[in-house]
Amino acid sequence: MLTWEFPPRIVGDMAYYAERLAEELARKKVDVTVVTFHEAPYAREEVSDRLVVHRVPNPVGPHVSVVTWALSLTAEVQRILSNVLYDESRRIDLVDVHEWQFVVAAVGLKKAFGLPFVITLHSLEAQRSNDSSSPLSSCINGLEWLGTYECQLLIAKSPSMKSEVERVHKLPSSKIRVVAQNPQSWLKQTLQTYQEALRLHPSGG
Amino acid sequence: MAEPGVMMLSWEFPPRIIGGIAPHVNNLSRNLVRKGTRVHVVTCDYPGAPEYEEVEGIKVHRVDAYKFPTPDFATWVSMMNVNLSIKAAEIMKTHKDEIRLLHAHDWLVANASIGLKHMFRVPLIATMHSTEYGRRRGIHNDYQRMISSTEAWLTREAWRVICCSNYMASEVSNALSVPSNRIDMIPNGVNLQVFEGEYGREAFRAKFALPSEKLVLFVGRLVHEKGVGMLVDAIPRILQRVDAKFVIVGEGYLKEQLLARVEELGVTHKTFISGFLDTSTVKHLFRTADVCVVPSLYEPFGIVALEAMAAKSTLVTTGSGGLGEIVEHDKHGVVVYPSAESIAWGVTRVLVDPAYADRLRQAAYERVTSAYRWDNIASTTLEVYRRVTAEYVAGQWKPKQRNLVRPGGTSF
Repeated sequence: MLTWEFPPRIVGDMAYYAERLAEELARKKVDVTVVTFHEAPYAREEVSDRLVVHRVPNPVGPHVSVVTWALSLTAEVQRILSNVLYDESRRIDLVDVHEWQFVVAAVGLKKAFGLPFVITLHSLEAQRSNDSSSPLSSCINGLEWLGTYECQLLIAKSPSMKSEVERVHKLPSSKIRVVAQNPQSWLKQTLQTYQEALRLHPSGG
Repeated sequence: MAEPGVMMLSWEFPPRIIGGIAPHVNNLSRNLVRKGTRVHVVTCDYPGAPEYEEVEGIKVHRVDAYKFPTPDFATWVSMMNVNLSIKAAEIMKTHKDEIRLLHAHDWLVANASIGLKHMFRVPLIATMHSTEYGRRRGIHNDYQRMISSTEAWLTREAWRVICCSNYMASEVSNALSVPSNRIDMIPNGVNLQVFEGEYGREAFRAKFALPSEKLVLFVGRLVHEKGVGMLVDAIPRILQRVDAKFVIVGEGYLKEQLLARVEELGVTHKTFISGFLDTSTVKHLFRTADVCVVPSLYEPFGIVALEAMAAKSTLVTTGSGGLGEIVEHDKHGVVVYPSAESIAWGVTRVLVDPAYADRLRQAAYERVTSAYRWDNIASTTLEVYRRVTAEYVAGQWKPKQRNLVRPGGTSF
C-alpha cells in the first residue's frame, strides 16, 4: 500500500482510512507492506507479523513545488519496495496506491516487477484546485490520469466519485469499482477488487 | 568477452542540442560502441527525430519530454523524468541480460536513474558536467538549493562519480560533499576529424579579414564569466603593435554592452561581433584564426580550448578552472592574467613572433591528439565500468533470487 499520509502523520482523513484498511487486511491474513512519507529518518516498523510500515523522508530538500516533492520521493518509495522484494521473504502480489503522489512509483514497479496495481482516488485535482488549469494543477492532473490509465482497476468511494473520474479522465466505467463506506461491506468489496485486479494481471506477468 | 551493456540517461542527444552534454554523450557512446559495448541512450524527443533509431550502433530511444505548461524548470524536469523512467523501465525489462549499468548525466535525470537503479538492482554511474554551486557562483535561494540537493542525492546514489577535470572534481567534492576517492577524473574530448579536409582557406579568410590583418578569434557565450569584456578592452592595445581583425562569435546578455564599448574605443572597423554562426563556419574560423583567445573567469572544463588546439590555432587563455589543466604556459599556449593588459600582452606576443606561435600550436596539437581523444576517453570510461561491475559482482547488493514474484496462488 502506497500512501503519502499514514498515522502518526495525519493530514486529512486518508491517513485514518489507510490505517484502518491496513489493519483490517492484516486481520484477514493478508501480508500488508505500507510505504509512506515521514520527515524523520527512515524507519521500518513491524506492527504485527502481517503488517509492516516503512516511513521514508524525502531525499531532496527544499522543494519548489508539490510535484517536485512527490517525484523525488517516488524514487525513494521504489527503493524501499525494491529492497523488500529483493531482500525480504515478504510477498507482495499487488500494489494499492492512494491518490496521485506515488502513482509513478506504482507504474515503475508494474513495469519492473510485473506487479499489478489498483489506485484508490479519494478526491480529484479537478475538484480540489481552485484553478485546475494552472500549470501546477495540470501536472498533478496528468499524474492522476497516468494512475487511472496504468492501473488494473480504480477504487472510487462513491458513485458520484465514479462519474467524476469517468468525466475528468475519460475512463471507461468498466475499470472502476465503487467501494462504498459501509462498515459491513467495504473490506469485502476492497478484497474482491484486489482479487479481480490479480485475475486481470497476474503478478510477475 | 563482451563488455557490459550500458544505458545512458541524458536530457539531450543530437539532434536535440542544448549544451555540452549532447555532444559528450554522443561521442562517448559512439566510441564505446566501437569497443564492443552495447549502448542504449534514453533521451528527450525532438521534432522530426524518430522515437527509436540506431546511430552508428547506438540504440537511441526518445521519450515525450512533457510539453504541457509547468510552473518552473525544475517541475518540468520532474515531469520529464516520469516519462523517461517509464520508458527506460520497459527497455530495462526487455533487455535484462544486456543492460548491466546505468550512466546518468547531471541532476536532470536523477529521479529516473535512481528509481531504475533500485528496481533493477543495477549499479549507477553519474557524470557531473557542472554543479549548481559553480554555475550560480554559490547557492542563493531555495530553487538553487533544491537543484544542489538533487545533485548531492545523485552523487550519493552513484557507485562512482565522473568529472571532466580536476577542477570539477574538487568542486563536486566541496559543494556536494562527495569523498574524492569516489570520483574518477576523465577529461572531455574533441573530435579531430571535424577539423580536417579542404575548406578553401584563402576565400574563407577573405570574408573576415584583410590579407594584411591577423585574425583574432573568440568563441563563447557573451556573458561575464567568459571574460569577453576584457578581450574587447585589450583591442586598442593590441592594435598599437599589430594590424588585426577581432572576430567575436556567440550570443549573450553582454552583446549590446560590447557593441557600445567597441564603438567607444574607436575600433569598430577592426571588430566583428557576429552572434551565432553555423557549426561549420565556426570550425573553419578555428582553423583560420592566427590566435584564439579564451579569457574565461569560470570554466568547468574549457572545451573551446580543445577545439582551438585541435584546429591548430594558437591559444591565449587565462587558464581558469579546467583550462589550467589543459594548457601549460609557454608550452601549449600563452597563459595570461585575467586583465585587459595581460591579454593584450599575450596576444601581441603570439602575433609578432610567428615561429613562437608555430611551436605552441604544434605542441598543443600533439597534446590534444594524445590526451583528449574520444577513443582514449572511452577506454578510461570502460575501466570505470569494469571496476564497478567487478565490485558489484563481488558485493552483497546484487539480487539473491532470480524469480522475485512467485506467480499464481496469491495470499488473498
